[in-house]
Amino acid sequence: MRKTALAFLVLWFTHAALAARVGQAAPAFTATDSHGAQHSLAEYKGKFVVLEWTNQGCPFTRKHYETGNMEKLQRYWTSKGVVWLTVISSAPGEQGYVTAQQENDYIKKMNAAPTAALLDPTGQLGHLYGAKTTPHMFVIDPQGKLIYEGAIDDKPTTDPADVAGAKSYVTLALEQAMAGQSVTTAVTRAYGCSVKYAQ
Amino acid sequence: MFASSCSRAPQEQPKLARAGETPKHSQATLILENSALQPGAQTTVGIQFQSEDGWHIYWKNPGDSGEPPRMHWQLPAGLTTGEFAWPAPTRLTTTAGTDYGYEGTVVLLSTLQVSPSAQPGSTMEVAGNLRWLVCHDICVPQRTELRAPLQIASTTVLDPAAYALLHAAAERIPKPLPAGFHASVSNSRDSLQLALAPREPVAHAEFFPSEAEEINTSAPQEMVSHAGIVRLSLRKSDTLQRVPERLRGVLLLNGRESYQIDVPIRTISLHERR
Repeated sequence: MRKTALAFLVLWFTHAALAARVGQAAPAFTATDSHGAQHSLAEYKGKFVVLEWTNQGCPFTRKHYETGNMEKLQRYWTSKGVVWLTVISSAPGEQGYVTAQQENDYIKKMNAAPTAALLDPTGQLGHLYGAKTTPHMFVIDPQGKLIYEGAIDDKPTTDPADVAGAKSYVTLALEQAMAGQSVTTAVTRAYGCSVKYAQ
Repeated sequence: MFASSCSRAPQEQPKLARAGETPKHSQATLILENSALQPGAQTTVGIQFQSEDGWHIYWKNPGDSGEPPRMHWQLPAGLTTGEFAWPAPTRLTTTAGTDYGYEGTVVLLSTLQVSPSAQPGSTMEVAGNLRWLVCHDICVPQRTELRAPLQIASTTVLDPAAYALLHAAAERIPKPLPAGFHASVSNSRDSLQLALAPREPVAHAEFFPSEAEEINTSAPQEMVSHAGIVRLSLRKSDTLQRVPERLRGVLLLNGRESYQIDVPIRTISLHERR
């Protein structure tokens, strides 16, 4: 019986690892942050988790950071108990690649407030979730189910003037899920720069 | 009438970009077919983009990443423009997916309509703010102000060089499907099947969807030809939530001719399945 359960679990994890699909279990991962600490998705069971793919040099992410929009979202949602993980999947030599120190300096300079910044220079986490752009956002519910994937908002441009008045899909998903409702816009097309994975 | 965006840059500036200054990797030029028009007349206006080698700009549906150019026209009363017509794009592969865009030179076309009440003898300014993204491995947002004068006169004056350029550009705009060229789309489990009955043999066919969420941009589009029917299999996007009522986009045949596709999507009933 235990063996069967174990086999089932292994199968389930293998299946879950194939792709991130809204409505299904978010792929399990363990990754290292810019302070050297390990984070696994499993340890955040019981909490909402946001994954935010980023690249400091990308004009789409710069729109959100230089207007303060991303920092505001991070600060607001982490104050509500949400775990906000920024993920950097740029390969060494590619735009957006940072050392741990560079990332910590950037967080300080921008007054950014993620729970942690995960360094993913191999692109393993990025490919696991199918992250295509920066930004590309994922929202995971306390049961570990992926409840939103896609764009940060409904204005797919690099124009900072478009931040005000944009509809934040991430905020909408978190608000609805926290109110016990189903997420009405659960999947959108992520917009941004392509993630700078290793060639 | 050619009005280049680079003409406004001070000439004494060194060629090298200064620290903090965004380097320019593509140039945009506003082109009017006519330098003078009569009240009530219509003409063609184009924006020509010329990108450096290795750099590209984006189609109206940029694919997995990127951003299409946007022109915010600033026109005086008496002038109106239509939407842009876009040439068929090319597929651009990144390490994260597939984009749709243009390398080298491309011209987007629109129409310019002069009001019948415009006063002959006056000069109107065709102007606007253009924003576009140019990418290589990295992306650089660009913006410029484009402007060109248009005289309102009792006779029309054609700019022959502009006419030739815009005429050549119009040849690249996808055409409506000709009479006798049938296209239909059926919905199957993981894909949309585009069936074509072209009038001439097709060696290569490629479809570019107008909407971003419908087709998996990176999936190969398998083509099967049989008895004069060409079937193109378009894998559905992972983010497709609901199959749309119509498939809209551009069909590129043999890498040359391009056609507008706007076809209802039918769901195959059980008895049609094998």
